[in-house]
Amino acid sequence: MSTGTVTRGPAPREERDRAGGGARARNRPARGFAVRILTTAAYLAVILAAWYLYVTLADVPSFLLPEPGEVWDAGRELVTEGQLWPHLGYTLRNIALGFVGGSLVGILLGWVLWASRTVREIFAPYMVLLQAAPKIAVAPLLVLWFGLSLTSQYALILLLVFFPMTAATMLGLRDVPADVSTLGRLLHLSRWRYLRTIQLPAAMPALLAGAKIAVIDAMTGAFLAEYLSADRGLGYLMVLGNTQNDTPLLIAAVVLTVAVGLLGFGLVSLAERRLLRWSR
Amino acid sequence: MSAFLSVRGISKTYTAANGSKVVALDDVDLDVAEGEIVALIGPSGCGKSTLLRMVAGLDTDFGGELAWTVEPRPGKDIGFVFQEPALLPWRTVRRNVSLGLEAQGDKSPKGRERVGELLDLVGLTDFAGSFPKELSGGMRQRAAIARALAYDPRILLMDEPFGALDAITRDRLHDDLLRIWATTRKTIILVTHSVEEATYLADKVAVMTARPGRIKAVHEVPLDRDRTPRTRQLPRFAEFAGMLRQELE
Ligand SMILES: Nc1ncnc2c1ncn2[C@@H]1O[C@H](COP(=O)(O)OP(=O)(O)OP(=O)(O)O)[C@@H](O)[C@H]1O
Ligand SMILES: [Mg+2]
Repeated sequence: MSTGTVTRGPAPREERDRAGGGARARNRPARGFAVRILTTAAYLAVILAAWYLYVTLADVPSFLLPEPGEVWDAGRELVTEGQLWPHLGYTLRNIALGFVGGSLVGILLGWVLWASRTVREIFAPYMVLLQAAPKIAVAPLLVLWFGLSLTSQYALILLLVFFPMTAATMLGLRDVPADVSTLGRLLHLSRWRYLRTIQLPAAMPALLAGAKIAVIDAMTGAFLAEYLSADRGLGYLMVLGNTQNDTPLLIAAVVLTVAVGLLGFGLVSLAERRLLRWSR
Repeated sequence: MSAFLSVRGISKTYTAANGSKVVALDDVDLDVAEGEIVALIGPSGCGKSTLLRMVAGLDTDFGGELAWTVEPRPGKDIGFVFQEPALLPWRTVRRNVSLGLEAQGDKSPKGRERVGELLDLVGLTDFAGSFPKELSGGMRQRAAIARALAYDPRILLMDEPFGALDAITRDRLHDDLLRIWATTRKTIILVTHSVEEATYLADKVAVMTARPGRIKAVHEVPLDRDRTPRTRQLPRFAEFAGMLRQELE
């Protein structure tokens, strides 16, 4: 009897695992999502309550830190005066264009650096140098060279975005296991087909990790550029709040900025979930 | 059986990173007939993988000659199975198996049918839509074998294909391979460390020695082509395996 159980054991277990796995996979995201929403809401509530209590109990003057209600009003005013969308849209567009452009440049450069040893030896040390230099210090120079224009804003965003993508690409392209690259040669894959069917998918985890950094960097670049040189955008709203001593407006702009950052990060994470389905 | 591949006087010297020379292969001769299963066996470092890579066309920097009756077409005639499955983790089993067809731009129904047959042959039809990480080690290696056969290569090269598997799985895959051979009649060169594996699967066993890598002897396996798990219990099986083991010492 015991031998019978042993020989028959594996097959049903395999089936059970597959069925169980399927059911769990269906339930988990829905529940996880609800839990995440609830915890986020709880965090927000705690922060808002603490903020409100601190301001009222310690009697903080409004120009230093207004209470949440005032910030909310400032935000509402932006909406009713029709200012929010032009500024927000402007910034979002710059972030999106800068991120996409910078990523393309970064991936291309990463591929070239991966493919050519000569290019790598010539450029790699300077790239690290460029990355180590604080980009904020370069910002005024960009304004000097390109003027108070969209060009200098994009230049700054590109400068911030391309490096994490280049680094991620170089790392990712090296992630192809030796046997798999041998297989590519055996199947006589053209360079382009090899890139498309093997290298890019293999590099995808690294690329997405790079994109998470790059999207935040794109944001930083966009705000910084607007802060320095624009007459539109969320960064400009901050300048406005600052110079007009309108602290509620300033904080509303900061909150919007954080929201935009979370949005960008969330979109990349979403892409990650879809693209890396095979690795979970 | 006609001659298929003749390895004539092959030599290979590697130059190590520190500049010293390693003679990996020294004057190696080997004949492989069409439809034959040849096992290459020998101590670690005797140049088995090196030889297999040359036959696969992956290494063209060597002395001597590889004479084929029909020169293999690049990307079409060589099937290769590595010690590790080396599947693409982002592709389903079916799409992994059809990789070679895809590389040739073959979208014909015949190709698709062939992939289906091979999946059936290696018992993975129910897992065609699964990702590699959802499979066991043995299933992954079976998928790798199916991938190597999907574009109907003329020769199948296997470099310790069962080396990373446990004994029970290995025995099952031996029978799977024999079944595959019975339906496809492929010419197979199989590198292995195991004298039992060589005896059970091969028609002919080439025993190699290390430093320098040479072929010491080539033996016909004195067993019927039809092999079943019972073959392992035959006295002749044990005798031949024992003889190989002695030669390796
Ligand atoms: N790229 C290389 N550079 C230098 N020496 C090498 C290289 N590849 C292999 N060798 C040497 O060539 C010899 C044969 O190597 P090979 O990998 O063919 O052995 P093998 O018989 O397959 O061994 P194993 O059974 O351990 O896989 C070894 O001594 C090894 O050190
Ligand atoms: Mg080897």
